[in-house]
Amino acid sequence: MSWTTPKTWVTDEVIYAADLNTALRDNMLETEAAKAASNGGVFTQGSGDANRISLSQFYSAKADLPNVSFTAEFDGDTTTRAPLIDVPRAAGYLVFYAARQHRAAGTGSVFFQPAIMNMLNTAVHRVSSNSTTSVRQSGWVLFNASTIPGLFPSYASDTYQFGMIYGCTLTGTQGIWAQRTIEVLPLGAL
Amino acid sequence: MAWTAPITFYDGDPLTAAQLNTFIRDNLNATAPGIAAVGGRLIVSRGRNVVNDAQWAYAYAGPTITLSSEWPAEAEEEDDQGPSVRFEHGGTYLLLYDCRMRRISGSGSMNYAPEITSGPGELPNVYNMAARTAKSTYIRTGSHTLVTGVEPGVTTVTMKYGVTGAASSGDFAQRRLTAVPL
Repeated sequence: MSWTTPKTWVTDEVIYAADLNTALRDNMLETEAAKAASNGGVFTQGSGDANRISLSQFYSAKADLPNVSFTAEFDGDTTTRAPLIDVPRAAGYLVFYAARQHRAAGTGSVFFQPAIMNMLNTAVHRVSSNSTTSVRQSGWVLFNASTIPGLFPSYASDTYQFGMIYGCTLTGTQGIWAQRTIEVLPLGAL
Repeated sequence: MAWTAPITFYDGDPLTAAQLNTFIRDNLNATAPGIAAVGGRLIVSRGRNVVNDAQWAYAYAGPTITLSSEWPAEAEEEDDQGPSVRFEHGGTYLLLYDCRMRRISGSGSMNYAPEITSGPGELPNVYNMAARTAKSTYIRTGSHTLVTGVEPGVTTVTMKYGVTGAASSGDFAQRRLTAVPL
């Protein structure tokens, strides 16, 4: 079903079932009350056709154990690691990510950042530290999926996998990451 | 008013006032325009065919506090200095918290963490949720956590403070806490 601009009724007009089905039944089924399915969702404007709304809910994942530990330079390890979560394809995403991290050896910085299908791989979203004691840090990013080269609309799958990239900035630096979490709110489901 | 799935109409069926009241009046009253009452609130789902508005909660404590208590094993032993928020939710809420803090003596760390002081919800070990620094210069640092899958209700979250390491003390300033209920 899709939304149809409500017609203007005129006096003495004969009301047909088709009119009621289109203007009343079908349009009602496009409202948020019709689409509400469970607790904890928020409504956003849907992608594609105008006058469409979609129900969005947070997708979350956490990785408590095992703690991740690396001794590497960033360029040497861009593998997307836990926490991993599959999120429905959407026009945009609000992403929160957090971890406790510290430098266990070396002199560089340690960091973590979100990744989508290995493509949201940019230092802009990196959360870094050179602390030798474990510190919980967070980051968040709101982005339009179409601004990520190669992600949208090239990937036609129904879901995208979100995860984290961890790294160190200098050879010989070792980092440890714990209690890692990622939460994703898709905006404008397709 | 509760939502009723609209029926399919057929030519020749009499259209009754009851049908118009159910499928137009009552259903429209169950949609966002029907329930919207206060500007700026979110429209959220609270079950099958149930929508509601959700009110953000924000608290700010500007004054600088200096603490030298050690981080306790039990949260109840922590100093209770706020900020604190109380909000209604549908079983999911996002907490955002940060402050400026610094260590002024000793070699320990300053910790700033949320605790659920009443209502539904459970947070991991509060120590693991703490925004933390051991720097001697002020730094604004914070974190977030998503609580989900709990009973709908009214929850109070209060920020707690602690200092790890004997003979350590620190300052906490411009302390913020935000709750986004869904």
